[in-house]
Amino acid sequence: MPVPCARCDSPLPLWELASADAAVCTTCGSSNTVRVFPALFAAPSAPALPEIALDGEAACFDHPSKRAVAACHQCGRFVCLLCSVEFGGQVWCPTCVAAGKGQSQAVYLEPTRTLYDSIALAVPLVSLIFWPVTILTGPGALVFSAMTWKRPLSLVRRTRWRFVVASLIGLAQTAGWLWLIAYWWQAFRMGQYGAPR
Amino acid sequence: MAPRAETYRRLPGRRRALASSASLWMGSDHILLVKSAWFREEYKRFYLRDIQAILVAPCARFYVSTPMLVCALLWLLPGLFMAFWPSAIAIVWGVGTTAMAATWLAISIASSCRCRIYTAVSKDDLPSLYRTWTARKFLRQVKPWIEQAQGVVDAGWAEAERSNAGPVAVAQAPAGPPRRVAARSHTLASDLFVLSLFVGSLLDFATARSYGSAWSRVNIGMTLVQLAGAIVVLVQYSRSGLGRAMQRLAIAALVLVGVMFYAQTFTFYFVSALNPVSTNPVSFTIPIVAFRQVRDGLGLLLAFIGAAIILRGGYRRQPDIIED
Repeated sequence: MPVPCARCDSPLPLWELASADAAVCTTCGSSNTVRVFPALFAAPSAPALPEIALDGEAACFDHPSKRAVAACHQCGRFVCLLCSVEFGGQVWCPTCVAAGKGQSQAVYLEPTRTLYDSIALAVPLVSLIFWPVTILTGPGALVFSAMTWKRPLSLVRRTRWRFVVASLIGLAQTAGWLWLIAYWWQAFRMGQYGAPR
Repeated sequence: MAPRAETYRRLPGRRRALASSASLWMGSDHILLVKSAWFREEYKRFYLRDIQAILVAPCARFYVSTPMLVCALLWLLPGLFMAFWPSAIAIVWGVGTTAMAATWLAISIASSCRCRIYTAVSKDDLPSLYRTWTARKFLRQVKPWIEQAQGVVDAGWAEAERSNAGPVAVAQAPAGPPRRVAARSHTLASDLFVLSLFVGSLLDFATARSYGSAWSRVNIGMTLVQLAGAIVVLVQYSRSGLGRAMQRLAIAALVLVGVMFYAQTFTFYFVSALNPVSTNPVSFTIPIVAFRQVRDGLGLLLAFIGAAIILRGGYRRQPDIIED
């Protein structure tokens, strides 16, 4: 049950943890503000051992000899104690857990997400550093925003304002280029660039 | 049936850099740590029922957030046109810059921390909590939630742990207060460091009005010796060979040298801008000399403190020696 010092990783002595909120590390001398919770004293739980299924009892889909304890909330397959994966108040089977990884339905498992809205916003903004590139990035931002609009956002962000701003900037850049091309074409036709009609 | 979408509430603390950020969010049954780098976010969930302890250890964190960096740039940008300013505004701007830098240094050294969260299988830093007031606010908010999920720790848990653990643990965790073992309050390196503070400050004070580059080189050399001494002291402290008082003195000396270097540079350019046609070399005008004397005074003060530490001897808590 050792709680290491947050600064030097040496275990904080029990008397310091118990004495007050501030536990002084005996190695580095730093005064750690500590909050301990009952989980610190909980004994490690024994590994789950599924019971043998008797005749007439529901059995696990993957382990036919083991008694089923629940049904998967995704696919409905019976799972034994060993196979049941509980999170978010629901029981899933290992197959659904593996298959659901990275999909929006398995938000409880997702370790990473790509921020498409930030990419969409960064592309037209960064391209302004070298403006001729905007001939590609302006329409590109528009297309990218449209393609990824429905992709899941950050777990904690809830609005799509980056997509909207990216689309507006992309639209402005595209419109600017169209106007410029039309202007040049008109000027070329009028003979201002040495190519008279 | 898919699980319902989790709604997160922001917890105190946020760390923002140019291409990365970190923040903490409260879910229905877990704390979510969100770390983002460029265009990717990483999530780590700490379920309330699994959290064993949260620790906050004070330590120096010299961190500049992006909003702070933008503010600093906006403040410093007008300094490019300082030569065209009236002297009063230039002085106010310089004083303001120095005050802000000093405030940032003070907060970085005295009010910063490292926060960690422990579960049975993990030990993670919480990068968004790097100021003590934010960490305290975070603890105040999450503690009731965790206690709601786990219950409250019994007040006599330490005694219970000791009695459950058997004689070995009792020997490792004596009931009485820990013995204080005298640590080395000074070493040869720290003595030389304090001596260099004395000599450097006195020499610079004595030669503040002296012309000639030789003295200037000697003073620069003494400053380098002071810096080297301070670094050696910090290394010795980190190897548990030296007391904490001397470590703090070394940090104070490093901060003094750093702050004074930049402040002196600012002052130098102020004076240069204010007296462009003066025949007197800028380095020997009254403000610069006064500035050097203030710096030397502070250096002498540190040297006296160092001497007091050496003479008095310091004590530092050490792990008890278990005797069979």
